[in-house]
Amino acid sequence: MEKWKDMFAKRWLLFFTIATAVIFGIISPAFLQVANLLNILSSACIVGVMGVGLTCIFATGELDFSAGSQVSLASCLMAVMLGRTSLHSYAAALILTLVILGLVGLYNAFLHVKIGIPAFIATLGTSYLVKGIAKALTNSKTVNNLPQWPKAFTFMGQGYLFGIIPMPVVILVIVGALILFYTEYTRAGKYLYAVGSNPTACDYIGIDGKAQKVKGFVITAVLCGLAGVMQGSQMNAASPTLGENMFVPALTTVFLGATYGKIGVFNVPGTLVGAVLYALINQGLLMITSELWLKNYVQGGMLLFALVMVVVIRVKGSKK
Amino acid sequence: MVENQAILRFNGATKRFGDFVAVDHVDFEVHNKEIVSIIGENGAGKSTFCKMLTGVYSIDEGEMYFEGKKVNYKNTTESMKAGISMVYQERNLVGMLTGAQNIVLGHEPGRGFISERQAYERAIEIRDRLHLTIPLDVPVEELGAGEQQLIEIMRAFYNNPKVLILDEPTASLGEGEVEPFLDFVKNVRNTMDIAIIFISHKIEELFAISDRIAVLTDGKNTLTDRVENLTQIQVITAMLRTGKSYGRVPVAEKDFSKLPVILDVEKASYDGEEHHLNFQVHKGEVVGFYGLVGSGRTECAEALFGLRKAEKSYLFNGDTITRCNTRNMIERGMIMTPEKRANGMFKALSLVDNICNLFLKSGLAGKGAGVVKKAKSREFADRILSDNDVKYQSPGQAISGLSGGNIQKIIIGRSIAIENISLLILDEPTNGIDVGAKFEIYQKVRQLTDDEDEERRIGVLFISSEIDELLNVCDKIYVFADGNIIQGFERNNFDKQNILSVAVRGKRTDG
Repeated sequence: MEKWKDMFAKRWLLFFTIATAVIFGIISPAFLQVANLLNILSSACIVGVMGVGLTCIFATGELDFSAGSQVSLASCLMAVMLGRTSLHSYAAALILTLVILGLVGLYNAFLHVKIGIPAFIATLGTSYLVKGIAKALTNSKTVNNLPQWPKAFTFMGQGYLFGIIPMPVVILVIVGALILFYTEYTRAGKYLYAVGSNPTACDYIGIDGKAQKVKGFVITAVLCGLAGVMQGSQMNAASPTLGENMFVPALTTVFLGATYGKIGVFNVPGTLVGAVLYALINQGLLMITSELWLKNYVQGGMLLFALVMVVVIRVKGSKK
Repeated sequence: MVENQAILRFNGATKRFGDFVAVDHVDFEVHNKEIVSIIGENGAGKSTFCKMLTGVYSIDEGEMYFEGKKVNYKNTTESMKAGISMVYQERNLVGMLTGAQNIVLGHEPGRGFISERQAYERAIEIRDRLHLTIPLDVPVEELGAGEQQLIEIMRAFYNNPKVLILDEPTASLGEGEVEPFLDFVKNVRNTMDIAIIFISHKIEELFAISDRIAVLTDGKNTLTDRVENLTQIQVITAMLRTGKSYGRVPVAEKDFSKLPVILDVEKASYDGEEHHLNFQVHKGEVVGFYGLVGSGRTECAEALFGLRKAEKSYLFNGDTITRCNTRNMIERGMIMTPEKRANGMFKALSLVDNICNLFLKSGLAGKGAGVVKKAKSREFADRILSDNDVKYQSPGQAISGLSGGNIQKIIIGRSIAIENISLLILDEPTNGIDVGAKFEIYQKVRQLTDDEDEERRIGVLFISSEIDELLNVCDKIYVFADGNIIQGFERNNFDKQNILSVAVRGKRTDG
């Protein structure tokens, strides 16, 4: 009995997600059709990739407010490089974009770790810089469906593997598995959580806490970049503001994730479940109502709910 | 009012925190135009007692009379209004405001609007009354420590206090600043209607300034008398704790002159000063660092271990160390456990992670990608937990669920599991843990240094404010004061009174 209770407390988010799907299915039977579910899943994936990235920086006890702008920048970089320069190799553009995003992560790390600005302020500053660069690239406009774009451009967001599995799902599975392995099964991952738990204790046992934070910022930025590439591909467009609306959803999935599995700790499986739940609720609401304001309510409500849960769990945990 | 009636009197003052009696039936009084000093070791109850006077702590037992009336202040606002002002040990000034602004901070004259001119005049008036000449129109951060201290005191005079409490006022003052400051305090007593309570653990200051001295030991008032009836030795004797008796641990006799030196330190510069350290740790030796709070024991160990920026050059196992970080030193076989247990543990992480995070570069994770060997880590953690008699439910539980003693066992246990360990630095390892767990730590320390296999013996540096435990476990004790090692005592010369008197006087006993 105790075991079941414990199991439920740890996995409630998963049960809740399934229950949500079932409820929407009852209200609107079309909801549970395979095509719709796959659609929901692929919309969960882009926010999911971003969330998995953010999980890494949250694990070190820091945060990255520039994540949304990083997504925008990546989409603009891809669009402009492939559409308006002589670079025509999709792979090269993709790699270059991720490298540039990695540099953005390093820049955040430089501001926080080297200069010593609190991550909250430093990354807020970075977010505007990055947004500015994205605007400069696109003349502050949305870039739509340029003829120079190779076919591959839309593949990342709209394509299917073997004709059935949406590409975003494939990418999320690969990214999720890699980062899960990295955070849970490697020395580097253990260190990431160690510095998030107590940087002073790291000093005493010889772990370089600053190096872990640098890694966290870079991984986050690269994955946000990947999410940006996917989003641009899915919309067949790029814009310097496209990532902004994804930041709060990604933040919500990360915090929902911290209520799952390793309670009170940001973790990859939790973030993945959180991303699916978020997409379910979002899409479900779109199906049953056309009131747009409801979306804001639900977005804000879910983020606050997740924050309250995490804080309550932590306070309870520290009283033990 | 009768001339010699005490302005402030406390009968049977008692304060408990749970089962711990911090202040135990203390009788105390102070008269107008009198300086009464309170002296005691760290944790003897001085600060707690003062916080009872000012209403920070409620009174559990006992009656307090102020100007003959029974009082019970609920907070500092009430006590301040009545005329009891306290100047705390830590500076509470706003650096970028001027002296005048700091003095009136919190009770600015004028209604709603702050009148700079009025504030300045009021501050000047206080300054003149105290016969001081400090500039009040420059930001206080540009002033020296001694001047800042005086500004704090001027602030305390804003309300015309009848009782002024000074908590370790000389702790932050430089060498040349102490004497003028003491003269100033005496002058205040002579010229104003005020009673002064002076808290310090520097005994010579007290004899220079006090009319009467009260000694607190373990919360009890063990001695109170006029200063002319007292000698320094009497006061130090009264400060000695009457001995919470721990079981004595057996200590093997060794001739250290024949044993290899693990650590050899002469001096080092940190925190902007050069410190004379001059000590050695031999293989198989437990070396104690004793000193009062702020005497620089921890700072010294941190500088050697690479936690604190320092210019240094010392010998560790024969190698000269000048630059290092904690990673290097751990690889070389030195590790330090923190003074606060919270700084040594990863609260939300499992016991396994708390133990194994120290060893992920030495076998518990593969080379290259650094994949953690789960089974091996688990096995390793199990071994550390059982070797150190840790009481726990499961190795996967979060460490925050364990008692302080068990957490300390894990922190020490993982440290001594380092393969090539040769020096273990323990900073207040028995702080806040129960007597049984303390004794187990003493045993562990002796077992590490008296191991039957001489090859496996290590050196231990044991930092503590509890003189009794150092006398119990150490082969040698070095006494710190003002950041320097003042004197070392061999085990056959251990003398509690001598050691304590070196610590409070900051001078060698032999000259």
